[in-house]
Amino acid sequence: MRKTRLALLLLILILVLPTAIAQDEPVIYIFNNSGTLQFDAGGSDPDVLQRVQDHIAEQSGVRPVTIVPGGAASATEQLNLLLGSSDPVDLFQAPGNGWHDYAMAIIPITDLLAEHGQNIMQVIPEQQWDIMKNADGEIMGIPRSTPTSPYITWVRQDWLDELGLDVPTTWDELEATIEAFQAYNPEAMVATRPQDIRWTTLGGFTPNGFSNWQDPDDGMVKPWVMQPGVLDWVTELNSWWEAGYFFPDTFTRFDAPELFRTCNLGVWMGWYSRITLITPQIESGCEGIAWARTSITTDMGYIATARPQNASAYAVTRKAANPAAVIQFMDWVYSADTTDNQLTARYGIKGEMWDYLDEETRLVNPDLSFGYVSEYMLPNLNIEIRYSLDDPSRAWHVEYLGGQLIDLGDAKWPFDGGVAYNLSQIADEVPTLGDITRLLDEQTILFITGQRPLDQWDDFMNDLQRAGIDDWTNAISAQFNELTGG
Amino acid sequence: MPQPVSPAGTVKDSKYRRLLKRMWFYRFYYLLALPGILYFIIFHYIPMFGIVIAFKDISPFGGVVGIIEAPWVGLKHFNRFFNSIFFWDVIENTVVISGLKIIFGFPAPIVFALMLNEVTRLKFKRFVQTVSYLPHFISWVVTTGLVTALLATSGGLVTEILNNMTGERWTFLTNPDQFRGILTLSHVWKTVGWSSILYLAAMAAIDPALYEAAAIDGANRFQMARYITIPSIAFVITILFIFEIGNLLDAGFEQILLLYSPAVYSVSDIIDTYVYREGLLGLKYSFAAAVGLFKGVMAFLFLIAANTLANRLGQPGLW
Repeated sequence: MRKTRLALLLLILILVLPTAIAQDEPVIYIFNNSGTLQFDAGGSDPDVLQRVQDHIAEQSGVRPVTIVPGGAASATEQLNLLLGSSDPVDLFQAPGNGWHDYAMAIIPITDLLAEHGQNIMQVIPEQQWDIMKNADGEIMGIPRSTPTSPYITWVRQDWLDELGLDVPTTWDELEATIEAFQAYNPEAMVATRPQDIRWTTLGGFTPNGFSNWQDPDDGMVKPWVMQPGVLDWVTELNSWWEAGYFFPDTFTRFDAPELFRTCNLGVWMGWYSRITLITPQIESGCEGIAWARTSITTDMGYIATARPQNASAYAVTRKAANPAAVIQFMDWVYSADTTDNQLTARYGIKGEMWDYLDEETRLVNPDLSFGYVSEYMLPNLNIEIRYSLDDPSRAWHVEYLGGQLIDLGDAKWPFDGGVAYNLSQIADEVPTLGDITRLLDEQTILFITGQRPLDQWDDFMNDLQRAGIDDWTNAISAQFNELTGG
Repeated sequence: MPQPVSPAGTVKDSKYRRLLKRMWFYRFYYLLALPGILYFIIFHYIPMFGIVIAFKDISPFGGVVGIIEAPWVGLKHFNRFFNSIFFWDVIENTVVISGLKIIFGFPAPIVFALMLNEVTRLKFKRFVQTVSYLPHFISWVVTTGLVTALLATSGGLVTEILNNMTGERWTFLTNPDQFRGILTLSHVWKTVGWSSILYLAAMAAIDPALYEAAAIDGANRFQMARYITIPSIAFVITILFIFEIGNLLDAGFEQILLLYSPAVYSVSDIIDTYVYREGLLGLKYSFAAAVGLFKGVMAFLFLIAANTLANRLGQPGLW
């Protein structure tokens, strides 16, 4: 009997001890709403994930556990509930108005970065930290975004070649190209998204593009919709709608990959990665498909507006049991000396799931067949542009990140781009901001699609006044003047 | 000689003892009711203290301490909702969409149950019942996916057929004139079978002798349905109708959220979708709680009104 008990005890020790030893390192919980997993909500193969986690724990000294969010919209809802609950979550990406919205749920990380975040501080340029600081100068998060020009008009290069046309450089040429495409293929169409169309085209009709602007008459900083030229923009897009240029579902809901698979998309006005990531996936179905990135102008200048850095940030929660471990892990991923760590977070175990084809140029060949979907990757453009890929499905995308995406030369820079507004405070000061946003989202589309006559534009502006757009103007102006001394 | 105790005490004691005795006698019934009572106390009554959130400015990340320490702001959040330029729009949308669902969705299962009740071939009846129950088990995510596949402006099966037949461009999901109809139709399709169960159960309890007597008197099937079946299930219809009225401000959050877009906000933005955008995504939980409380009070008033109306019409209400 005693022997049996001893044997049992030994067996338990043998089983439990290695686990206890293996999990000796601090555990951190990451809600990875960075967008990396937006198409992989099912997560990795559990066995593969465990192996990658063990490997990272061994390399970094921290064991990361990732919470995979649901869809994009529900991810924010899920995050808010998670932060308000007693469930563990140590690190997340602050969406919406960035870290300001979550100031009550996160901790300043200035001292932690000084002690454990040398790599992070090195790879992210100094000027990108300003927007992360609170009124006391404390850093509240690690920057997620960088200034880019992600919203661009793309046209089908293969169709241009077949028709003997050049890439359009003016609005008129763009229209002529669309006409030519539709004559060539009656199913050819233009697609965009309600927000994307503002970024991609408003610059061609207004002085500042999709941006706040300063009214010279009263010196106030006002929302984009009050700029001169917005009505011209709406009128022009309405004529496009009436002419049948647009994909009929473009202002509602549609599945972008499905749309691209029709091979009938002639012009895409929107987020760059729909082109760089989807095109390689549909090449076999759409023979010869190729896209040209345009730099289109009107009398008002470039039609596209660049996107400045915003307050989106990787933030450490108040309830983090070991905040230092969170920064240690991030610092390991953001290593300044090597790309090995971020590639491990992105593709898994080096030498097995990926390796360098050329270490000097950092050309990488990931093997995606292992089923690891990058749970531990916390992307930032500053580190992502340090390698290139041999994988044909992502090579163009990665190349684009380090090149044309950060080229701001052919887009309008917003009037107040780089001003570190506290949008959360503005939302508090303008309780009707949600109503104003809804009016803008809804009514501009109704005007473009002809469901509301253009001669009612003044009524719409009156509705905005009733909804409190002047309060919004006052709040933006006050912060702008305070932050710029203007 | 009587004992020197106060008469009041005697009565009280004896009442108390009688109550205990009665409870002990029916102890197994009380035991059976206990889980239900606990459920309502834990999940419905204790959370009612959360109502205070509607009158405070809370941070969603402060937990219970945060709720206690948050400043009182009176009716600030209610005022904000009532003063929103969309207040009447969302109320109208909620009531109209809900009303359409009641007008078309409430009688549909009754008619369906009446029709099923007339089917004499048992296998066919069971087959139809099973098929009609299936949509109930399909989530709204899948249902709206089906609706989109059928009615999408580009590539939707029904849309393409109509486009080709009429030569016009049909835009169901972006057309404010048609959007509420789609909501109503998809709701009826999803609920008609499942909702008919209670009516079928009530019909099964009708004494067959009534039908036999009616048949002897020369009544046809329609007359039997009109004079026997419908009056016999009237109490179920009344009670379910009162419940429906109580849910008048629940116009189908999930269904609408998954189908609407800015082009149809004007006819589809209901209280719940408004609160979802403003409250849950915008981290304004106090505002969401205030609107939720408003909805709860309104639903309670609707319920009382419907119950009173039912009583006045001679039907047994909920109380």
